[in-house]
Amino acid sequence: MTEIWALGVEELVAAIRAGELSAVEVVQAFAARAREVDVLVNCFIARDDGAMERAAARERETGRRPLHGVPYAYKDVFVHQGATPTVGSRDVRLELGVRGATVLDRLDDAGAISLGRLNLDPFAYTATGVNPDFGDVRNPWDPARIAGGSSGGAAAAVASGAVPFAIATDTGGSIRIPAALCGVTGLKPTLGRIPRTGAAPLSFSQDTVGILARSAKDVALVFEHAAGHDPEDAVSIPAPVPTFAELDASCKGTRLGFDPDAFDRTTPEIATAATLAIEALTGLGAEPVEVDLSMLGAFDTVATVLTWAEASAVHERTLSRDPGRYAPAIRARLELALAAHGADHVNAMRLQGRALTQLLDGPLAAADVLVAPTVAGPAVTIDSLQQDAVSVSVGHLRLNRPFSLTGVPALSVPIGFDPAGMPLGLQFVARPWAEQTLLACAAAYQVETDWHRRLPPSSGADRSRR
Amino acid sequence: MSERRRDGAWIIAVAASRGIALEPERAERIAAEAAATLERFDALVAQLSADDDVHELRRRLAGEADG
Repeated sequence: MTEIWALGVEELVAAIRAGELSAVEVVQAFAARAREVDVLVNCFIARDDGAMERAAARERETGRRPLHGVPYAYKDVFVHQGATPTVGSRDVRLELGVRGATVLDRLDDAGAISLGRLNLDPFAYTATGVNPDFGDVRNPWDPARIAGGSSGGAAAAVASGAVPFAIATDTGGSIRIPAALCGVTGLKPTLGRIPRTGAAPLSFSQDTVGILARSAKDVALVFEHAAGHDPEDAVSIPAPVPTFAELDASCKGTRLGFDPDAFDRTTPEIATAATLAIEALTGLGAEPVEVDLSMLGAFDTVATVLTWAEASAVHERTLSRDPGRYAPAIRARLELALAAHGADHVNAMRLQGRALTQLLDGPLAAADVLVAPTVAGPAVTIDSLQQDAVSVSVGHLRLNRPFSLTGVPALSVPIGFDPAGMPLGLQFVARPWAEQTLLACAAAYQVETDWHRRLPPSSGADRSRR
Repeated sequence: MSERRRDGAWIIAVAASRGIALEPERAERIAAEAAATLERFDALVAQLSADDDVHELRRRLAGEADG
């Protein structure tokens, strides 16, 4: 029999709607699972003791909400129900606003039930899942290895079955990188698609709220209830939100753009798995077309300077007051911004617009969906980071930052495992507001493959290798 | 125009203006680490004209939303 915690969002919604499971049973099963896996992977900063009470309250409601009784958790960067987040630091308190997170309020209204706050890299500013204050997030596929970051807790929680979906943020790959390294599906939507109100900032011009779940269909189901205009968010743009019912799991006729040179700096296993994924999508009716993505290196440079300037603005007061409270790796990155000046920030913003135009008039004119590597290689061991933490982070970030800079939607999809059994991921990218195109392609791919359904070997679930 | 100065002494001065104390060695390290990125960045900035506006990204995103 399939364990309740091994069910995805779509299956849970159907089972609760059909009366086969109650909100209380579901929350109880996931809360127990969360306690169990947290010991191994350290994905939570704080589990929510009120979840069972809220599940019981849901149960007493006469109607059924769209995500009635579905558990979730969120990266600890959001103001929620009056509580301020740690943003991954015990000692440094950023000057956050008082507004609550619109996205979490929407999910609560849709009937979802939060199980707690998830671990992350301090201030969401590195990409490994390593956290000196709250302990390192460990990869459920091998706890000696990193989960990736900065949303490492979110990816590890979904991969290990602690929650069926998680809400996180992505400024330069913080959803996509850990999603790839932990073998789950992670969406960074269009800039301004899901409200950032109530989220701690890192880089105002690039911060994006997104979703992690096992499958693209589960992401699509949550997306419908998370996305939409929010006048409180300065970058929010009114755009119609596609519904889950409209999702057609097909990539027939989709022009699939790829640049073979984009895989030059990845491991051979990722290049091979990507080739097989492109072949699978072609078999499903996609039309492959070669595109030139050589401009992404320049985009990465612009994104780097833009992030320096904006992260520096967020941290300047706390850093000048008490630099010793910052972890050395974070402090070093924040201090890099001192080499750039105000005009560099303005020029980075000017180059940001130019970069989007180049992408839309070039590769995204020739193709509907671009495929590119999410990560340079599988998750490394936590011990190895002692020698080389910066190049591991940078190696992954440079593949992701170009699509954060340009604000386009990007989805990381599991595409296989390396010989050591570690997950591999591929990034799908589309024009602004075309999340449904990405999700449709990925959903079609996931009908034909089972990478996203596999569970870590230590999970004990009977569907782990079916 | 002469090349822009971004050595350790310049970084110490910038840091001081923001209330951040830096030792000379640390400032030199920051200057050295940022140099390659800033050199690439300056080459990109040299391509900008008055047509490149800070609001262009938002305008394009909004335009795409309108179809």
